[in-house]
Amino acid sequence: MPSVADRLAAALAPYLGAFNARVMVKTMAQRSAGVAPEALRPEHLPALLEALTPTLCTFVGRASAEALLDGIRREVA
Amino acid sequence: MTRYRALALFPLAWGAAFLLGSAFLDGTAAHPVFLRTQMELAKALALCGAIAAAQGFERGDYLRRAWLLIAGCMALLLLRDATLLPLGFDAMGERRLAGLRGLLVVGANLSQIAGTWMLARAWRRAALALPVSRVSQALLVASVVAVVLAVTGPGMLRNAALVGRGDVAALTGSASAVGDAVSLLLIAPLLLTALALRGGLFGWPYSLLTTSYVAWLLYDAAIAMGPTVGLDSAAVRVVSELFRAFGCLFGFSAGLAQRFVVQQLRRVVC
Repeated sequence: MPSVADRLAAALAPYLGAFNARVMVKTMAQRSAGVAPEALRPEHLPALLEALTPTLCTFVGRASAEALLDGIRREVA
Repeated sequence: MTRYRALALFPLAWGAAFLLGSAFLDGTAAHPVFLRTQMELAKALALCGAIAAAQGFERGDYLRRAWLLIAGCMALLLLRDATLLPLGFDAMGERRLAGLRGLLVVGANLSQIAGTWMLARAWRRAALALPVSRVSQALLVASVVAVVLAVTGPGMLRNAALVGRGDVAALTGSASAVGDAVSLLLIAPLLLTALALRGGLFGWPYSLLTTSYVAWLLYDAAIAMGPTVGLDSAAVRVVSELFRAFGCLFGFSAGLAQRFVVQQLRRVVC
C-alpha cells in the first residue's frame, strides 16, 4: 500500500502539479509533524491538512480550499 | 481540462477572425470602425473575465481583491474610451477633458499594477516552491527587465519630457507607459508561478494570465519597434491591435479559468 506521503502527494498533484505536491508534502511534514515524509502516519493527517490550508486558500479561497481538504481527507485517510 | 484548452484557443480564434476581417475591410471607411469596435469588445470581455473571477471567490479571499483591481483597470479604460464618443464630453473643454482622460488612465494603471502585484506574489504567500534554481530565477528576472525597458523605456522618456513641458494630454501616454512597464515587469513572477503549478488545475489561470501579459509586451513592442523593422503605420496599427486583443482576451480567459477552478473544486469535491 502506498505511504501516507505518496497518497497525499497524489491527491494534491491534480491541483498543485506534481512538483509542488511533492514539495508541499515534504515541507508540511517537517513543519507540522516534525518528521520526514516517509515517516508520516495517518494520525499526522489533521495537522498536515491544517498546514496546507493557507496555500490552498490563497489560490482558490476559503470555501473551495475547505471543500478540497475534505475530499483529500476522505481520499487519504 | 477540455474547457481550459478551449479558453486557451479562444483568443487565437478571435485573432484569426480579426485578421480576416481587417484584410477584408482594409482601405474602406469601415476599417477604422472595425478596429475600434473589436478593441472595445475585447476590453469589455477582459472586464467580464476579471469580474467573473472575482465573483467566484468570497469576501476576504486574497485573489478576489486582485481580480477586482484588474477589473477596475478595464472599467476605467472603458470609461476613458467612452469620453471619445459624442456624449457631450467636449463641453468640458479640451484641456479639462485631456486631464480627465489622464486621470482615468492613471487610475487604470494603478489598479492594474496593484492587482497584478497581488497575483504575482501569491506564490510567496502560498509558500510554493519554484521549479527553477535561484540562478535561473535571477536570469529570468534580468531578461524580463531588459526586454521591458527596451520596449517601454523610449516611450516613457518621450512622454515624461512632454509632461515636463506642460502637455496635459501627454499625461495619459505617460501614465500608460509607466503602468505598462511596471505591470510587464511582473511577467517574471507570474511566469514562475505558472511553471511551479504546471500540470495542476491551479496553473491554468496563471498560464493564461502570463500569456496575456506577454501579449501586452508584444503590443508595446509592435508600436515602439514596428516602424524600425519596416512596417508602415497601417501594418503597425493592425499588428498592435492584434496583440492588444490577445492581451485582453487571454486576460478574459484567465479570469474565466480562475472562476472555473474555484467552482469546480466546490462541485466535484463536495
